Amino acid sequence: MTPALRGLVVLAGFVVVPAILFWLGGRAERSHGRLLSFACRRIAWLGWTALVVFTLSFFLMRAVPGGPFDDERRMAPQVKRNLEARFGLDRPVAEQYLAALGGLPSLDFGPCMTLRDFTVREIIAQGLPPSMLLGLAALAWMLLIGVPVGVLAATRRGSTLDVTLTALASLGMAVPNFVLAGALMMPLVFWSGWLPAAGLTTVDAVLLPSFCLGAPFAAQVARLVRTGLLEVLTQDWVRTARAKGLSERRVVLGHALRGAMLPVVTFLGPALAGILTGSLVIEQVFAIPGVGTHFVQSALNRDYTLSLGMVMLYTVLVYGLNAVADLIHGLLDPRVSLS
Amino acid sequence: MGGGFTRNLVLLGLLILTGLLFRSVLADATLPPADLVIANGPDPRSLDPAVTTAIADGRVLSSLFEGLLDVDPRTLEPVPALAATMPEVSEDGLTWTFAIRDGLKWSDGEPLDATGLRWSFLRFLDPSTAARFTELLYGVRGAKAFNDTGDGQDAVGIEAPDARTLIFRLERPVPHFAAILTLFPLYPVPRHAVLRFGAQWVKPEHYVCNGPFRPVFWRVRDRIRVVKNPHYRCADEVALQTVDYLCTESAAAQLNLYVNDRADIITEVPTAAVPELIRRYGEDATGEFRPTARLGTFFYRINTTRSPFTNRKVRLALSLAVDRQSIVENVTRAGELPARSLVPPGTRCASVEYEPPLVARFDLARAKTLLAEGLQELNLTVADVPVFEVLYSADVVDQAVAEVLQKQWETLGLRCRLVNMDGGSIRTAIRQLDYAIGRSSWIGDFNDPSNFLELFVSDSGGNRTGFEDAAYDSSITEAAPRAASDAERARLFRAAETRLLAEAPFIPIYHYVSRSMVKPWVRGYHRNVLDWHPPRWWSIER
Repeated sequence: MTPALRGLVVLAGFVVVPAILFWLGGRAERSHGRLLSFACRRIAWLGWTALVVFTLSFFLMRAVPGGPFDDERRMAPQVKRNLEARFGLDRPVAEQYLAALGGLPSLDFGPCMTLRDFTVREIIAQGLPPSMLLGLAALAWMLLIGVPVGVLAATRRGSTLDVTLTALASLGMAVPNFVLAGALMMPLVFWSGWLPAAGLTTVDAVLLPSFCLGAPFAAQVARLVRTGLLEVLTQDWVRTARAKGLSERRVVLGHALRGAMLPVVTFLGPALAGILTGSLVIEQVFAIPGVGTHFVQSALNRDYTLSLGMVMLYTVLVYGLNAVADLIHGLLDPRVSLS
Repeated sequence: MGGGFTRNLVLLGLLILTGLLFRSVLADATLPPADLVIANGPDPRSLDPAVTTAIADGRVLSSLFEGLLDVDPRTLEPVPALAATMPEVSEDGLTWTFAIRDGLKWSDGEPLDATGLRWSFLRFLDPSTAARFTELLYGVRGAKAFNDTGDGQDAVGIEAPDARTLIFRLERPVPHFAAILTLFPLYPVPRHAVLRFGAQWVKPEHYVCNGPFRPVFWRVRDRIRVVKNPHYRCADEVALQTVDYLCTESAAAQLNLYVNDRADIITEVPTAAVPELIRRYGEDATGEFRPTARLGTFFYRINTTRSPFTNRKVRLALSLAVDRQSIVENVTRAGELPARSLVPPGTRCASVEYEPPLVARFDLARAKTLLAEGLQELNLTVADVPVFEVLYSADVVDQAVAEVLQKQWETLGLRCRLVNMDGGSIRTAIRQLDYAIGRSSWIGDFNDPSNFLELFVSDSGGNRTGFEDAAYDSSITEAAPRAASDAERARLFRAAETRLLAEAPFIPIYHYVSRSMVKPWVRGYHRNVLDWHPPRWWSIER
């Protein structure tokens, strides 16, 4: 099968398979319950989204002036032809598109055009674990700081502590992560020598970058928890719980917090997307070998294959993480229907 | 479904995932530290010399390979490397004969001889290799035709009559041919490994080279580690066992690593930090930060096909209105030299120092007169000149320079709009002559004025200004290479550059300095105008 033909088959697959899943999801709703139906529909939408994003990015990259082999140096026409032939850029665009699409199911985005010794898949496979580690650690900071601060502020409403924490949270949301990084590096890295300045070779090297990445989101979580908790604490059943003699601790942590966490779960989706994109800057500042920097650099370098790979990776991640957040939300709150 | 159970399950999953990630990411945390760490800038394009382009690529390759000739970092003279002696050059300058050293070996112990070298040069020219700088060898007979078509490999003037002799037959004299043969894209590649592993030969596990070190691994955006190559011909003289080339692009991160003692050499520093660095690490302090002149020029190209820049006097007026001194004092601040020529001072014609002709200094009054004269020749007034665009890249220094230019041209009554573009878009716009004025730069690969002056030859792909001058072309490509002596060649170049500067298809702004920082315990790092530092000489003395 020629690459173009395979591309056509894949194209058809990307249209038809999600449609079947979608239909199956509708039927499963009645027979197998909402969870399976939810999963089927979400996956179907993922397939269509991926196809649209892939197509748009493919043609947009080629519409931008410049190509992967432009540089300041002069280049003989034949040298350029040789390079283009090497990467199949001498073929008609439609054929290039189908050939690229054909590799998608096997996650084969082809050879990287700027880092010539690697395939796009190798680069993503190398860069994804550090990025995920950074993202998960940032998520941990977000919850570990955000939730307790929100609870403290809500339970001491109107006190100096509340005002201070709320002000700090506003500040935290406003400060860009790289500014925070610069401000924290001075005491923690240079004056005290406690943490390494850059790179990702030791466990403690994760602390500062993930904190800088997670802090703005922690501030937002704190605000959400505070607002949510204040609202819940005014409800009748809380008064009942107190009247039954439950300790304030049990009322807040055991009962009210659960309801106050719902907005946080809803916020997880956008937060994860924000952490992912925020890592572009943090990875650069702390020289972390993640995928974030490739996302921007590959587009600037007109690295067609790598940029396409990166766009698809981010599409799947953002989409998938949002779906998971929705799922958790649905499981926590019976009022939400999964559809 | 029980919410608590699901939540615990999700949490447990997350914990396990994090644990696995820590394991996989930090598995190499126990990596023994390298003897020397250099922050090298972006990842190299490849470890295959033929397809590499950037200076950062060359720095890594210089640890892995040795060419026919090498550059002495102190004198910048080409010295014998794989060649046993300097080549014998025939009377007419067309035949260069190299005697190859006996007993040379690749890093896997395989023998390296003249036949293998010839194969490597032909592979470089083969169009299917898609090498980037094949033009370096276009002086060799039949090289261009072979690179163009893929036919005529046997007609290429590179011969290996026996295992220890390599002969180059040139089409025309190339006085700086020895300097060309020191360049990193021409490093020899191992025939046996390339044929056996194909495109995979560049992977560290298959990699074979012939220099002081060989690569162990390459983690993208992290580092390339190289270890000493026991088969290197001067292995006894190599002091270091392991070197890490950090692929750290951000200048700020490089500086942080340096100050934090995680890097011994860094190649770039943030411009904002320069004054503070000079104060703390400069000549009068520890001497770790001593920006030194290098062969490179930052300039703006002018599209000479676009009115009113078709007029020479208008172009000259733009150039005269630029206060370069103020730019290097207030913007770049690392001791850059204001540029009044294309070829940087310090360039040599082999034995003779080249003295570039200089454009006039900043002179606003004269600029105004010239502009008025030029516009009059076009039957225009200053008010008729439309707002023109100035392309600059998204770099702090670039932007500041562009803003200075805008302000200074405003005093002439000219209005321009600054357009920020990424590097790729600027280069495309400039190549297609779809611009009015745009930033550009050139860094010398070897120490010879032709390296710069060939840029503005009419059919050179590097011209991109619409400037055409047959007399200039012939003196650069015909007369200079055939000059009887170095002094005569320098004189011809100087006359040609004078012509070029009088036509002003570009505005020189400043000459670059190297802004590396080197820890005091690093020995054998010689600062020079090519910013070229072969790692075989490095050592650590604490």
